[in-house]
Amino acid sequence: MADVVNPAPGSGPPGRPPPGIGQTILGVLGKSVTRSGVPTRPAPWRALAGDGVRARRFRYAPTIVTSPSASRAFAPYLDLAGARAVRSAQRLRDVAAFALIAVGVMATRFRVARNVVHPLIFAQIRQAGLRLLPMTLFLGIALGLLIIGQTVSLLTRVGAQQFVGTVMVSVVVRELGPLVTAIVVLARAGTSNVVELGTMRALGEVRALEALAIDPMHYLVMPRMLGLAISVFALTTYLVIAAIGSGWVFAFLQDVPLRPAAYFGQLGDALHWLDFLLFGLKTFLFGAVIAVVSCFHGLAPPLRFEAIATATERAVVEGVIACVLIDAIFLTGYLYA
Amino acid sequence: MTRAVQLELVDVDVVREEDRERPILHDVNWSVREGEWWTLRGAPSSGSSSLLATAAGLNPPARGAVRLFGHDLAHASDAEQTAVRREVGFVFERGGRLLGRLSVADNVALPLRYHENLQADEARGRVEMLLARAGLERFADLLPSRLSPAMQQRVALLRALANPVRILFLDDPLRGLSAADVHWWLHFLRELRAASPVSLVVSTYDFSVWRDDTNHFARVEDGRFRETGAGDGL
Repeated sequence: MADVVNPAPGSGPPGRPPPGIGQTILGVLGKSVTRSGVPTRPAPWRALAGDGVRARRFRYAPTIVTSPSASRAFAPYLDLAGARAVRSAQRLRDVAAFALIAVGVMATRFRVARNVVHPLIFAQIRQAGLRLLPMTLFLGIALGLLIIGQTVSLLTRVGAQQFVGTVMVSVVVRELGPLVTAIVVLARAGTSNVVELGTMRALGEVRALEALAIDPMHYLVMPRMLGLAISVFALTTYLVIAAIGSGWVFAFLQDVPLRPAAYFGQLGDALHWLDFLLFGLKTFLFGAVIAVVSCFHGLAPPLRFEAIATATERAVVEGVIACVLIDAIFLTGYLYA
Repeated sequence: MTRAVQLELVDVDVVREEDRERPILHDVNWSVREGEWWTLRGAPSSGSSSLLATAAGLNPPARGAVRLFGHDLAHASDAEQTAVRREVGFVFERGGRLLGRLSVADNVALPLRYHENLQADEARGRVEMLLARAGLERFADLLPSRLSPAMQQRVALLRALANPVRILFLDDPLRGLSAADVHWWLHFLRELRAASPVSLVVSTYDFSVWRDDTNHFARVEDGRFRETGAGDGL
């Protein structure tokens, strides 16, 4: 049996290194002290889980209002709206803390256990990227047909066919392409993440990872963040190419007097170097946000099997909202630029 | 010669993972020295599993200090916690919580590969040796769901031992096992202890099976942890 267990000599780990990134972030967020005042060191996402419990206990309780009848009539609705606003703010704070911890883990431990963790990134790219490629191409082709179909007839009527390329760049490259891809990835890979991680959590497998001294943020979340970020970027690129190609084919079939050289020349003129930069940033950000939101809902709140469906719904809604908000921020940037 | 204290709980209030507000065990003072074999008896929901999780550093206590190998886990850095936990083995109850998407061999190899940054091929030798010890080599490529709970529990034990450990926690490992499986477990643990000074902490609801091997007993009841002698009404 000597080969089965070979206790390490010495008395354990060396002297105290500086606090880790998770500890620092949780310290900043004030989550490392319990109500009794004893400092604890729970895993970061489990600290968030504790908050999830508290947040769920926050229930709407109608207050008695003795003021005029109009106030009395609206008071419960105001209370309800207030309660929801507080819950949303708490959720936003928790997701932001989760994202910060995930980024911290990625920055500090990217090369740790790379023979185990990096293959998981490629697995995510296969699952969330490669498998979604046919559907994305289909959507790209459909998008190209729809946009050119609508705009060509309109632009031909006013004699402005030379703006077809500009419309494609504005609509597909800057706006719809990234957003449609993000929603497809969220619907497929995001929901799959919530179900998979939620099931692992409910079965105690995440706790088993902790027992093996494996950080779930490193083993489960980091590969998903990177994998989904790369996948959304790659899929959006293919979707845009498919939309541009199908747009020209449709224009050709409609006998629009638009030569390929003119069409692609218009596209080239409409594209700016900033488009490429923001396209890359936006798509990476979409992928990372989808991963963070879906992993948060799979891992952080205390989950039972029956709660997984609700968590999945919530992740989809919050993921869509997050992507649209990010898109709005980028749009504002475009307008000011 | 006095053996080194490996685990020390000082005035600890134990909470459940899912409810950290209400302690289920109060004022636990307990220490485990190198090479000791402890058996804790507790009825279901008495808190013995939560006590084991707290002692292993998985569940932060509501109050008090948990020291593993001299390190206070509440004040340890991430790196220190990881280093301490690598020397702690934990086998969960009812199937051992294997990762359902990994094969049996991959489950056993995971801690080894993760902490040593090994390729799958490099870990294969040790994994095959471990599986052979438990008679599971022909199940290496199966998913855990294809195995019986008793077999899953064995795989979980092998996984906990894939890296060298100094203290091994076993949460009710014999529940629902056949007599043959119980015999296998006891034989395996005796061999383990004979080969190395690993400390064992077992939770159970029945002392009788462990009586011949264990040298320290305790009860978990009425929200308290009480050490008890081997002959005290076991």
